[in-house]
Amino acid sequence: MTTVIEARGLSKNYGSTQALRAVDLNIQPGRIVGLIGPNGSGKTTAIKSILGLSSFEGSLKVLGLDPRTQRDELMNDVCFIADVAVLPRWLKVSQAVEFVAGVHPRFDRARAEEFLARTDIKKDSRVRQLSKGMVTQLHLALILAIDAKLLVLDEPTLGLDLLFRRSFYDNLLNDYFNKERTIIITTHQVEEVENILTDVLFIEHGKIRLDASMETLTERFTQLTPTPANLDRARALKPFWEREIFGRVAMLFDGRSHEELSALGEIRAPSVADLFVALMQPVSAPAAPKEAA
Amino acid sequence: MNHPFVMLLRRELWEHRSLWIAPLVWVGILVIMSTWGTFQLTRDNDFGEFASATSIEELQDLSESDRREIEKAMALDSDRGQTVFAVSYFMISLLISGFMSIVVFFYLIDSLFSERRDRSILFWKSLPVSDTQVVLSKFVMAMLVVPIGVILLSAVTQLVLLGIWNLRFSNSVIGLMTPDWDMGSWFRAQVIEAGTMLGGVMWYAPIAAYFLLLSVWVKRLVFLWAVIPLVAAPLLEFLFLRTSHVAEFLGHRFGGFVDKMNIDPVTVRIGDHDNHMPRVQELYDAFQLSGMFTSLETWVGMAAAAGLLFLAIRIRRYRDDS
Repeated sequence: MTTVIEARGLSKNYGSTQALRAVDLNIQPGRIVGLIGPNGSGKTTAIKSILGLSSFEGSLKVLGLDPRTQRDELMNDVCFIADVAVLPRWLKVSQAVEFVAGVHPRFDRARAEEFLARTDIKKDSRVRQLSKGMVTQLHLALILAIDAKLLVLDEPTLGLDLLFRRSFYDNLLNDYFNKERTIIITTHQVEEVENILTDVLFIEHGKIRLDASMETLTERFTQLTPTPANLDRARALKPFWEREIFGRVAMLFDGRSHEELSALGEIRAPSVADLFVALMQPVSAPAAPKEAA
Repeated sequence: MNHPFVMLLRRELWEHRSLWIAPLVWVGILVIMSTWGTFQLTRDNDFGEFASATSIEELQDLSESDRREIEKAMALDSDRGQTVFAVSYFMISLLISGFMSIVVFFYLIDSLFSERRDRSILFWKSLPVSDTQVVLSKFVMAMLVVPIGVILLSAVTQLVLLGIWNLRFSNSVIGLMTPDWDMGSWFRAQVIEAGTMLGGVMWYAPIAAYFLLLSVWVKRLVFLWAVIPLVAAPLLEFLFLRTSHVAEFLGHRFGGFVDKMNIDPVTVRIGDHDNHMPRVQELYDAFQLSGMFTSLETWVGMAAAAGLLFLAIRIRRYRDDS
């Protein structure tokens, strides 16, 4: 199968600010990739490059196409919901469905209507009359009915309450995702998506800090809460992050075996959120983590 | 019809409802005013007397000269009588197309700006519709769909107003002064209106494309960007250079359409032919549409419009609006 995204030396400058610094990416079909980074890290710039919305330097192929010159063709197979992309307020729900049906060759109108029937959204309502959650549901109904190979979600649940957020991701997994589709999600709410991700990409200052599958993550990173007696021995193994919580010290290790660490205390797999914080705030880190694989 | 381009045009009518609501309201006002004028204004004045009298004999207070004028009008041959109809057709068409040119101006300056103002541009860009299709759909809406709508609407309005006129005056002296309606003449008027509209569309195409370009380019206050340079540039030129080339150019570009149509002013000056109405054929022949289509200026303008549209497409494609 064609590689979904292949980037080599992807760079983008805004004046003197380097938004992306020679980023290399390789995303395969059937993956759900979390592109995670703090504000201003280059997430949105990367997404915009992938979607052909922004110029860039370097080589980038999305589904085998160049987003700079083949954007129109690319949009047949790519869908996206951008956090700043709101549906036009004057649009009626029925018009939204009709319009997408009219312009998108891969749109399944019946599927969209079926999805909308499960919500409280009325066909005659205009977007301006819907709550923020309903607008997202409508947008999702439109997107889920498109047989696209790549779905890009840029902060899709921003400003939604917990119930809507949960329902959003449930729908995404149950009604959309399959082995031939790829989803890229950027979000600040890491803990909400980590259970659905197959891969994570941590990005900071325009560089990829970590590129790993969830399976690799579990094998590679370990969180150790050493017993007080083993504290110095644990530190000698060079954790890349250390933090004291309620009088107990938690450490993160990269590439240490579970057997070796379990002898020193309690071990567990770190959450993506823990890893993200550890890698993005290395102030307390006694040793730097290994470079991205 | 669900062809993507047709859908884009439908989208314009959904978003910019003024494109069809405003002309309907305007025509409604015209019809109401005209009906009111026909039924009310003619009740209590001299004209009312004509309107209620079924024959000239009933008009006892009529002066000899007025009587002669009425008899002259009644004796007018149909060819000349149809001119009254033709002039009213053109007046109605002018009222509607003049009004719609204002609506289209506001549409053009808003059409590519609104998607940035309400931040929906990334939604539209998430669909497989090219920037070329989007920009052209707006241009086609303004320069093809609306003009066709104006032609149809003015044709219907002419018939409606004619019907009202007939209802009110058919059994009166005024009715006797009015010749029978000639469908062929009406149809000829429609063809001339359509040709004039086509000439106007071609002549004003670069101006429309310029407004579209402003709509996609300017960050805010598009109206001011559209209007102020047109006023300020001639003013500054005059203040600093004491010349008026810009004013002349703009005046020609905005008003030169009538010159290019090469309308014979003598023929269309109604009643100037020894106090006779010109024949309707003379009136129709006065519209020399070919002058518009053979003018180099028209085609240079069209080429400029194509260039400006190309720029608008490029800006929409490569501008980072997020």
